[in-house]
Amino acid sequence: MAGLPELAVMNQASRAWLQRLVPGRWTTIPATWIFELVLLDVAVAGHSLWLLRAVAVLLLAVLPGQLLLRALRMPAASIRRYVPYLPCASVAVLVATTLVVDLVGPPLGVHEPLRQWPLLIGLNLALPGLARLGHGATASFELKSSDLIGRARWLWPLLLPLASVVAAARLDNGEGNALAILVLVAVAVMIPTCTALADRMHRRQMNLILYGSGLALMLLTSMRSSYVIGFDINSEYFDLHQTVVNGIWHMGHLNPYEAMLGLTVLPASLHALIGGQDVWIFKLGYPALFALFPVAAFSLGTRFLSRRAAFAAAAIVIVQAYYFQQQPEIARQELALLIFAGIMGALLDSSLARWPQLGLVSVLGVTLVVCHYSTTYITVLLCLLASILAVTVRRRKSTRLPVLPWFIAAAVMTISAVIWYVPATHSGSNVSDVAQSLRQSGIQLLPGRLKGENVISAYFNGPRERPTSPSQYELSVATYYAAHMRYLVPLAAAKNSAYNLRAASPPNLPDHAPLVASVLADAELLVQQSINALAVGGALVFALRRRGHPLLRMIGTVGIASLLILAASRLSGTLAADYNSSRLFLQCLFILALLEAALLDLVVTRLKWRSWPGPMLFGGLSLLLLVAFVGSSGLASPVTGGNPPLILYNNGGDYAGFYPDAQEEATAHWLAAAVPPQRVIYADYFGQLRLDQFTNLRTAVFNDVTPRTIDQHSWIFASTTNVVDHLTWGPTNSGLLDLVFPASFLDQYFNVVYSTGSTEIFHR
Amino acid sequence: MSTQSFFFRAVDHVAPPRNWRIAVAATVAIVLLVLQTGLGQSVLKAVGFSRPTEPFVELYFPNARTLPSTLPASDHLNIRFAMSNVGPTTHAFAWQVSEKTGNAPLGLASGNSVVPANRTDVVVQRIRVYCSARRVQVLISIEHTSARITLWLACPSSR
Repeated sequence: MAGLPELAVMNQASRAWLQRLVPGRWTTIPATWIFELVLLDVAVAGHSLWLLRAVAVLLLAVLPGQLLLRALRMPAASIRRYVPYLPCASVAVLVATTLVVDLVGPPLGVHEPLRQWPLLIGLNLALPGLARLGHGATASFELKSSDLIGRARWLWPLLLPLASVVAAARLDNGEGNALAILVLVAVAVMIPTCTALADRMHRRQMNLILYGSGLALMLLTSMRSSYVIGFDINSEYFDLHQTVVNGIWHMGHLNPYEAMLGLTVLPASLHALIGGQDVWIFKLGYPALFALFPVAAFSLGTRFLSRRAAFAAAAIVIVQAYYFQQQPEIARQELALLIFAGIMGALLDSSLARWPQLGLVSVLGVTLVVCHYSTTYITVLLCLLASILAVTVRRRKSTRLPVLPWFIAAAVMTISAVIWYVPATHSGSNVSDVAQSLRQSGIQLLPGRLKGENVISAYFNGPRERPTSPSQYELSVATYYAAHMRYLVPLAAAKNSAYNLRAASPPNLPDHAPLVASVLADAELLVQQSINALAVGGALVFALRRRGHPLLRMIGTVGIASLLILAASRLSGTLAADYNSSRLFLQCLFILALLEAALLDLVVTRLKWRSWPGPMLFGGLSLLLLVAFVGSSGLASPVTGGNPPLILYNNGGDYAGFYPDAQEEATAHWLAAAVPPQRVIYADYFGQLRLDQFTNLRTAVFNDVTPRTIDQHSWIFASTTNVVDHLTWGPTNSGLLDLVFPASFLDQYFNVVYSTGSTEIFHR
Repeated sequence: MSTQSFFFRAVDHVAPPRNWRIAVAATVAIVLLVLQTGLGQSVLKAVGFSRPTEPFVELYFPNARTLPSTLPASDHLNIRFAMSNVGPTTHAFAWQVSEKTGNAPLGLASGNSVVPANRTDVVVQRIRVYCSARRVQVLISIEHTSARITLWLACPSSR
């Protein structure tokens, strides 16, 4: 460490030199950005060195956003209080710059513009341009990167994500789950501890704790396997990989995934600039961005709540499995929800002047439109409903609520969406699909309601179907295929009763303590319902209050809008089928969690003459959240047994379905190369994901791997789970059916034309 | 310094400890530089961070679209299969072609192939198949692995 003082002197000297470099009328533009841009160029050029790669990552996350926010005249103090503005703005700049490079490149003779040098040239034009727009901004708009971190020793929570990365690798290598359990325990301890100490901690320190904890939890999922993990992310990754391979993205008639720049242009650009394997952008990069989502909830909360309540709101988000297990499996929504948080932060920021606020909301709104359609639709709906509700609940003598920015935000996103989804990419099929579903099936009010069941019970139970038996499933798919897919001709021998489908046991751990597991499951359900009830109470109280902070009342109306959207998705079977309700829940929870914490804060404030309400209410809430976390994370599974979670075990339902291995990759590639253009392929529900991730085999792929539906000239992809565990799945209306893989039938009537020992391909 | 004061700082008092930041940045830089060296890679491997992929073999029919379904009248068949060595080192594979019968498989041919890392070896073998039923299954397998491919052949109708 002897050289450190010299380093500090060099740093000061370089600053002084840069200040001298831009004298006169440029003095209002801080010269540090020039130094940072040069450093970015060097880091990107030498990104094969890990150190420079890390520098490139940090600069790409901060520098473009810094310059854009200054150009928009966003006060540095506002950004310090709401850090997610910065990465959101950086994402917006990177998306726009990359898109321009992509479109302008070919006419200039650059046929693969999404490569390192064209993109770097693009950034070297865009960033000085933004700096020029920021010309004249006073010192109050200059954000220092160092202001975002605070003390160096506060950085210790960032060790948690590191531990998660190692934990996931150790688990992959079969070296046990002790470290993963340790990470979960650390987060579990953090919840009540930080709730208790919140009012004694610095805001930036809490940001780091929330960021480190949230990211650590997500990495336990996303860093499993060398490939992407999850369902949707398989197709998402394929589109990213294609963009990377082609080095260009084209507008035109695209499917919704291809039209999302958050899945194509942006990650391809990040990959070109940062280096490494493209898969790391989704496995590590996007979770690192999305980990700012609970930080955003906390930062928004600190504007009008006690620090303790704001932390509790963020903790409500973090403990949800939807947040840390489901979202890392949906890359497009990770990015979109972060931008959504940025939009909400700006709309609810009373420290911003009108034009900077509208400027930022518009920039982020357009970025959201090009990154994810369904988050956009929900955000537009929320803005419109909240504005209408705010106007409706406004009473005489009460303070007026600022609804104009909400209307403008909705208008900007709607107009951008129409332009982007219709003439630019022709990717509006998602909207037409919903419209078609509604036309065909109607709204399907409470489709799971049983005969004689009351409406409230049916609402809480949600859509349900009676469990299907293997024989029912077999018969129903055989009938359906025979009626609708006459071009598929199964073998006559398939009707032999020896090949009837049989149920398989789910790959669970032995039930060590069923009573504890049952109590925990009930407690988790109770906690979730309590949180929901608290959200309803919070939204109603704050939206309908006659007095109080206008910001809080506006959040109350957004909360009611969120509840209305959630209720619609719960009541209508058609809407529930068209958009995953858990993803919708997480988006709405960003606002609802704040209202829940605000309600408790209100009670504590009203009873401030007593000392017990604060510790009791927030202590109780943190304990409830702890119970929810233990249940949702699977932390109790080593004790209770049952379905083993993917973040802790190398077996179980999620592992069998979602965990790809090298043999499956090789098998998928071989299949793609071997099959003729006119062919029929069978891969079960999860086997299809391997084809989605590694190949472009999308059409004429059937998921019902049953003797009575398999065409006699087809190709059958058998995954590791099919071959080694003899397990497959039957997709039914009541969920997935665990079935024995029909190996005896396939062995008897098909050739095994390819094998790795753990995977096979059948054909005849 | 107590544990609490080290990990949790009192509210809203932020001194500018520039030296600390430089020290942390320098430490991270040194760690990243070292991790990319051979020593660093060994450390990563020791803590279980690196993910070594288990080598495996791909066994397949290169002509999977045009496999015969009937045994020629001569009972002899030219069978062609490939072995790809997916792994970092050269591997010797002991392969066997057999005919599946009611009880034990009947060996028809066997051999050894030495396949370099990430390369493929194609074996062409003329075998004689003994038709003991209306149709027979030819099995190709590799010792010490579970990899196997099979081919069903209808026996000539004269039998």
